[in-house]
Amino acid sequence: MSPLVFFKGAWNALLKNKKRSFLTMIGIVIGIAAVSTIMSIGRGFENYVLESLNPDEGELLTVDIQFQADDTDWMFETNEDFFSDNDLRMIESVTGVQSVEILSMNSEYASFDTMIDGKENYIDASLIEDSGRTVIAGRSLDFIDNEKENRVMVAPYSLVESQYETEEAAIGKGLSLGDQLYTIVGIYEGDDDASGILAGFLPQEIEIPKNSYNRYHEEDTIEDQISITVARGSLPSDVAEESIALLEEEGSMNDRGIYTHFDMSALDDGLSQVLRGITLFIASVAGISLFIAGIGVMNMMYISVSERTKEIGIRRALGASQKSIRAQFVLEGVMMTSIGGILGYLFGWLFSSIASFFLPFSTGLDLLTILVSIGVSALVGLIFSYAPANAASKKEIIDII
Amino acid sequence: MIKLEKIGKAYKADREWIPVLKNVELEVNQGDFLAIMGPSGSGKSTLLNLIGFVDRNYDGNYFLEGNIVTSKNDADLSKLRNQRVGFVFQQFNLIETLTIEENVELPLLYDGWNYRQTKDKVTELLEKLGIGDKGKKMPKQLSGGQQQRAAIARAIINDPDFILADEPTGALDTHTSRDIMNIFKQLNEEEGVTIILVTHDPKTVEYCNRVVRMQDGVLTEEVR
Ligand SMILES: Nc1ncnc2c1ncn2[C@@H]1O[C@H](COP(=O)(O)OP(=O)(O)OP(=O)(O)O)[C@@H](O)[C@H]1O
Ligand SMILES: [Mg+2]
Repeated sequence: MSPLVFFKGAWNALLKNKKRSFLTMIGIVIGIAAVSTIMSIGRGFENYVLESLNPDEGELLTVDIQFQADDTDWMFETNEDFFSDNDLRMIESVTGVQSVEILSMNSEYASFDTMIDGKENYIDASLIEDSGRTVIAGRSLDFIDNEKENRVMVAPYSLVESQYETEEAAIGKGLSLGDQLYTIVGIYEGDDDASGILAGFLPQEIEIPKNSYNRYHEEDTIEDQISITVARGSLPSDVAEESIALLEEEGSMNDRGIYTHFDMSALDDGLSQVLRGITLFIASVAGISLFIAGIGVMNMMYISVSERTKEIGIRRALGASQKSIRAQFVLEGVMMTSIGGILGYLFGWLFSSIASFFLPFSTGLDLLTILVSIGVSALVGLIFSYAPANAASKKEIIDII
Repeated sequence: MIKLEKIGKAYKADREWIPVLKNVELEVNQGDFLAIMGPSGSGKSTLLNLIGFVDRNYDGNYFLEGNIVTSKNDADLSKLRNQRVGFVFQQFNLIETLTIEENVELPLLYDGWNYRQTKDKVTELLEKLGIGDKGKKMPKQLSGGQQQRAAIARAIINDPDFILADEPTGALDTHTSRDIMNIFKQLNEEEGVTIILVTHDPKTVEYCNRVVRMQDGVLTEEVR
């Protein structure tokens, strides 16, 4: 039988039972409407995030990936590169990557271990190029300190109060950073936070001239970060995740530690939380409704088969094979649910358009949503009408005619 | 054309096998107009279904054009039914949700034709059988005689080798019966169509050129 003949036959059979076909369709319509609503909203939201994270104009976004070794001591001692040239080339081939570079330590901050009053302390240092912050005792850092690579520092009083009675007493005294001795030339008033209970946990921030740092500590720096520039139209989080997955698989240091990135995308804010809740709710409505609709289709097909027992027998006598009888009934089921799917999609489109009035982004016609709507509905038809169709094809002709 | 050899068939009823056909031997030639007569329950319809490739559970050999037909799969038998046989039933058996035209074109569609090709052939045949104006009607809107004409049209549209008719006049009055039998006779004489007919009515037997009798599953040919 030619396909057209099959289609027309199935179509006619549905028309013969308009009311019943329509009632059976309702469940599918509801289920697919729900599916296409969430999909449209979800896609709209995705585009919105993409837009806001990576607009069409302006500077390209970057995302940083950091290597963290399991063995930190090794990490400080080794001379090996944490990111090989091979790693960089590999990441460059990831879609959405514009360029990759190793972050040089020419940064604004550094950190040190130091001994104060017999206790080991962890301090952060701002690297200062010209004038530093204002002080309450001594003097601020200036560009001459930087030029001359003076080993001088400005420290918060909270850092040294256990050693010196007054702010003034600390001026001119020494403090070792790493293996270098620095002279305290100024004291500033530390944050309130920095004293009290949390004092031990919060890193204390000092200031030292940048060039001094580069001169005396350069060999200590570790290049454990790369910066990926993200091409327009791609999500930084996607690019970062894909790159990390690649590194974990084939990165030169993948057996030495882990790769991480800090996700600053807006995906985790309140809006997406609410959307996720709604999505879950509608998805379960859709799932249940599609399942029940499927059972309805099955039920209707069984009734249809038993009503049309005589027709089946006659068709078989005229030369219909079991296969073509089965195909006929499956097609009827699939056709019915597909029509339901199309109606459902249209409703979903309507609902999501209404919903977009209350959301900060718009939803629109979307090919993927259309394909999923029709695909899922056709699949429901196929699954739930197969058994009745098979039963129809197995009917004995002799019992019928 | 058709040759049955030692055909046997039994139905199972309450753990017991009840024989319905016993050692049936039959040969049908091209152009025969054969009547099968016999009391109710003697196995006439069973034999007809077997000849029409509807039934595959029997003993013995069935030769069609010298080829054995036993143990064929469903697709093959369906094709044989479609191309070699035309069925005519007592109750007409038109599909009630389809128009007369749609009923008549069904065998062609199952043979792979498409709608455009079938139209002319269907119209022509309905014309020939005297119901040319009824093509667009539903079966229910036709009289018994007209329905049986439509059923005959459907049976012969695919130019089958033979027609199997199970009491085709059983539900019709004498006058209409005579019309239907004349159609069969015309098909047989003018176009050489082989017809195998099951009947109770001695009057219809007069149209036939061979008669076999069925009695408790045993088939005997009547010599005339
Ligand atoms: N599917 C079946 N299962 C069990 N027994 C059957 C079946 N079909 C037919 N029979 C039996 O086989 C026998 C022959 O039946 P068949 O229909 O061939 O008779 P028939 O000669 O056509 O009778 P009638 O003239 O009334 O149509 C009957 O006894 C019937 O009860
Ligand atoms: Mg009978």
